[in-house]
Amino acid sequence: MLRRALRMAIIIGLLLLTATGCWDQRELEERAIVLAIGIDVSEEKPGQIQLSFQVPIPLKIAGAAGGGGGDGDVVHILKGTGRTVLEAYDEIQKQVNQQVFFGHTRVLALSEEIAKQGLERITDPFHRGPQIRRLLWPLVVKGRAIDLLTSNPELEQIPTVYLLTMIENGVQLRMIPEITLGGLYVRKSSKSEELFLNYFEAFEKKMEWEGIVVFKDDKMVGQLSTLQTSIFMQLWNGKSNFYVTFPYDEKEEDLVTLLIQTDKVEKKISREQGVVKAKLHIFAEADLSGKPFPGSFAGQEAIRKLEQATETYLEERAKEIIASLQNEYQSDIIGLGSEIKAYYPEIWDEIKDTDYFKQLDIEVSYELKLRRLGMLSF
Amino acid sequence: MTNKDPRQEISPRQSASIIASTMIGAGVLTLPRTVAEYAKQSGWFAVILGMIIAMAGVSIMTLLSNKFPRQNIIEYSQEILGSRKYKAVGRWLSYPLLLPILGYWCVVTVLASRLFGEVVVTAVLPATPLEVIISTMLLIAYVLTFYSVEVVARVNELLLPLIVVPVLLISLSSYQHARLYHLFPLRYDVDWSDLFMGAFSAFSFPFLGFEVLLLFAKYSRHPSVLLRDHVAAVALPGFIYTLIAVAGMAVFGVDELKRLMWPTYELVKVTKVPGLILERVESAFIGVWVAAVFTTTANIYYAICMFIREMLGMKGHRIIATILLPLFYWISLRPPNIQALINYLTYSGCAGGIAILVIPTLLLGVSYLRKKGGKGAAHDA
Repeated sequence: MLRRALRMAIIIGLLLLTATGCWDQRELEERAIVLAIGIDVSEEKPGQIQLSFQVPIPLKIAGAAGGGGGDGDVVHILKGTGRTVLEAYDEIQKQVNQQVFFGHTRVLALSEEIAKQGLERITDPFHRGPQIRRLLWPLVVKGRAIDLLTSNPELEQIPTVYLLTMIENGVQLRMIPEITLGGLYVRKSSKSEELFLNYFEAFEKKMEWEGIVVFKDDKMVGQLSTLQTSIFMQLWNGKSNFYVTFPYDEKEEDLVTLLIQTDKVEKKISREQGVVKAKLHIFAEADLSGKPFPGSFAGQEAIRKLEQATETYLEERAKEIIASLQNEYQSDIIGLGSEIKAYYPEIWDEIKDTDYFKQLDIEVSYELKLRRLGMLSF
Repeated sequence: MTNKDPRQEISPRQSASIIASTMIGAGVLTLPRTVAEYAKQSGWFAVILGMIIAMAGVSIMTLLSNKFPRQNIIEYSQEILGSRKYKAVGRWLSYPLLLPILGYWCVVTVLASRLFGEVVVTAVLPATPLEVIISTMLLIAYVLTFYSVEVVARVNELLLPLIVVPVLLISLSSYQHARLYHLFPLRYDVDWSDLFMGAFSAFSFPFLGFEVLLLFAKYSRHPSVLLRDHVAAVALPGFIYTLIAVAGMAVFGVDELKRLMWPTYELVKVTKVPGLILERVESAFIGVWVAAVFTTTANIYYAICMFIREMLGMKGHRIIATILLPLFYWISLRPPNIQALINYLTYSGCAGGIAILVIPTLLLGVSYLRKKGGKGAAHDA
């Protein structure tokens, strides 16, 4: 009997040990969940960083326990300043009753000014911190980053969710390039390609994707528009999907619109008389979406003519982009350096210590097939 | 000596599970970085070379065990080195030879659980003291030493698929972020010595663990058909390691990979499971890894206990296990920080790797020269 009681006591005692976790438990709702982080240059204290967090207010989210919803802001913005990101974070933590939690952070918004000053002093704590996802979206915001956090498009309860679905849908439709925080780290530490980030503009009730910004050695140097970004995506990994509208047959009012879809880019590197040549050949398919002017594309000849006109138009745009990347920004965001390093290591050994990208002779050619005319016969 | 007791017998599959699950342990968490430091883009090739070294090692040990069925290394090393007239000679010659293996086991088992503790306290349980993780791990391993060999074998057989399947899924699904060009150029600015260093660094910690068969092979039910099973047991971790090394290189590229402390864990962080049920699988991965590290720590703990028991000629090893527990805990807290820990692991892994390759080879060579043991020893069974 006594043995049995003793045995039971030991088992219960051991079971109680498993409950020690409840002693200093922290429930999910007892944390200040940060959905989006904004980083700006401080306006009050020159030279310092202003950090802002977007934190949802659980009680105000419709459908949450207790009803609520409707009136007032669903998110709260917390602000702090400091000489480093972590100093600013510390200031925020001191204003909040709960522990700040980054496990659900989805967006990291940087202001243009911060991006121009360089990313090295910004990214290290994010790279080091175990809570931070590698799959969150780093963005550069025109003007101030905090404006993106306070902007409320009202289609979704939580603005960050709106932004998130906007980026994720864009990436899925191949309209927005996929560059996550993990991708940022990889590009930043690579010596054979440069970094680019998505570029957004924020209004009071609107967020707009404005293309990408281009970095050189972790500092922002310039920007590509949305159409330029779509064509850049063709050069980069060949995966792109966009509408292009241009005057047909050099008549200003005859605007033809096509949906261009590409899957593949062929990159060929060669060396001729000491000059390294890169040939980018892009395979594209096009749908005729709109021809709001008289005239017809009936017959193979007319179709071939339209295809050629589109090829020429895209080639010209691509050349403009390459020219500005090579001369103005001197930034290899296409990753041609990585291509050379991987498949032509002998060439890479010779050029890696030079300003190789500027000296490359880059050629772009398109092979476009018009596949669909829509529901009309010509 | 015969083993009629069914609690002291293990099947070939169990024997293979013991080898495979002892090998898969904390070493995988850092493997992609370690090989990339030496062999750059060809890191995964170094892993394959490491696997070949491990296969050679396991074959030598299996040959040795097959020559002396129903014996462990302590028994047959005495027979190989000793003379029939003076029993003590074999003992005095073989013990110093075997002590490096014992010492290496004591250090590396403990440091493996420390390495695992480090990733747990940095990544998932930041408020938990490191000592708690290590001591619970050592305590469960200690509990396992109270049971018979057959129980250990069944635990390994049961846990192996639980370790292998999730790890396979994770390493395969991280390929969604892979970039092919990160894997090239192959063998360009990497010479053979770099590649061999990479292979040895892969071998000398992540691939070690198969040497527990020096003790466990004694309990094998069919002593002479084990070679195929044992080589397959090494090929399984080898395959997983290669997948993970390729994934790490293809996802991060060589420059980023060298910066990451826990590249395999970071690989899990870029994995997105569709369906939004589990958005972040890191914690689940660490949960699986508890089992992987447990089998490593516990199997070697058990092997150490049997080792000392045989040397001292004792019947049971509970006292030995109890004395070792505080010692292991003490060793595990020696490295002051993670960088020192990695250095300790590198040195002890290298020393141990050489020891477990050289000593069995030496014994096998001497046994051929002195015509000890033999394939025809099956009459003993």
